[in-house]
Amino acid sequence: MTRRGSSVSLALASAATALLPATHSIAAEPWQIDAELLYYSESGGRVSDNSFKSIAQRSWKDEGNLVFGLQLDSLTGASPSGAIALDEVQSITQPSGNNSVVTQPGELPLDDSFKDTRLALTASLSNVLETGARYSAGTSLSKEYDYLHLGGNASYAKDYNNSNTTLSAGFAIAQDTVEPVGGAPIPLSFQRAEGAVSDRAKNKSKTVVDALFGLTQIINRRSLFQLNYSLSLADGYLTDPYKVLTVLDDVGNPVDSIQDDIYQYRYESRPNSRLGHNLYLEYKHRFDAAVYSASYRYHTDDWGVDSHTIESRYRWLLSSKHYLEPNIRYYSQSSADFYRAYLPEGEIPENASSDYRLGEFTGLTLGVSYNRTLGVGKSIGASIETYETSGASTEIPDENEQTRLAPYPNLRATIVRFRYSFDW
Amino acid sequence: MIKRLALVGFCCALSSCTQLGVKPWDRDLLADPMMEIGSDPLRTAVDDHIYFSKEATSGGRGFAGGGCGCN
Repeated sequence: MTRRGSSVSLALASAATALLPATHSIAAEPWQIDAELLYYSESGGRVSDNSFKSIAQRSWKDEGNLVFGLQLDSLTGASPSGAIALDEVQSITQPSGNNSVVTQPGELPLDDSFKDTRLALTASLSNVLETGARYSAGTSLSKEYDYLHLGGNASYAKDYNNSNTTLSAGFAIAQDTVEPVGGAPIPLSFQRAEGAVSDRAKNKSKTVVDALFGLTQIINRRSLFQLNYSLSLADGYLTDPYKVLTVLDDVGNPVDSIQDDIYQYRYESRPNSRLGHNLYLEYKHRFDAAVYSASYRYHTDDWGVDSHTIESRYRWLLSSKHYLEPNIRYYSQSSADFYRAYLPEGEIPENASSDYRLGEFTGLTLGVSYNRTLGVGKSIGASIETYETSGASTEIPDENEQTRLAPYPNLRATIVRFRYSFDW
Repeated sequence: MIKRLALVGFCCALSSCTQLGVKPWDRDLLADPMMEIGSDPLRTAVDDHIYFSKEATSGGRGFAGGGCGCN
């Protein structure tokens, strides 16, 4: 993103005030609009997303800042149901309970019944207090066919050490409600065949509370860093109502349902609370003709998920009007304590999920962006990225006492974006 | 033990911050919006949403939050 070019005097004035978003000494700033079209596509007919996102912001009196965000997603495709591939044809009931998907031997069962449109709106206001501290308050709302999110947040930041150090603290709360297609099944209950009636709850909700503490420090004329610690507590319905686990007997064969003419699948179950901690460090350095940024995040939580994320971007300033920016991101996570690829027959643990996002895997993103300034406050940009995950396979028992593997449902996604920024 | 070490490390880092920094007239490069942390909120918001949907971890540079029943 390239923002409006500023004279040296304006730049110096803004730099002297704070580390936080620079505002210029002009009373009536125009709206700054950033708009982006995004195409996200996973290979193998899995999830595709066509998305539009825009941020509009306006500053006034050198201090205040108002930001509105809008995102519209249109999702299609198929998502792993949680069941594993079998040597036999298998039929899995879709969430509505009215249809089922037939999966051929050796193929991963996918649920292709979702088609979702998501609208997300955000608004935030920040300003400077008489003490020189900056505060901000914001709200967020998003709606999908089966999901409603409402959130609010507030933060406070103050400069110290001649504005070389900024300490900040923030708080956020969200209330999300899911109204699953076909209702929310009883956790770990057996899936019924299509048309069968089962006991379902109409809707479920969860509350998420976040707290964040940050330190931003200028190191020297060319570099600075930010260190954040945050914790997040989620409480309520954290289960995915659409995911199931395959039940296998002690030699790895699927088990016939007692009630219906399908195999046994149990709906997943997750704990009803989750406490997570994040430590995040970002470093930025200005070379003569480049801006380099690198970040590291460590996450740990009481579900047993530990993760490491390393991200790096190198903005190569080809001239004052355009730049090229390669980026790389590496992600690694351990599996949740209750993650398992399948359930042994007769075993009903307290919690179990075969959601691939809770398994052990690594992810690698490689990409490049290009941006060109067209005039005052106006620029265009494009980027392309690939995102690939590689997960650990699970050993399952075999009739011949040999090892059989349930492969992890890796994904390979392509992400293309087009950007247009202008003043209005 | 790890928590104590982290706390000691954080306090040392904080006290050493007073030795870091620049004078107002040396902020020419830092004044460039590209040098702000979070200088591209649109990009980071979209990135965070994608990885929130595909990984078990979210947040860090901002709030972890909720926000979607992602597939």
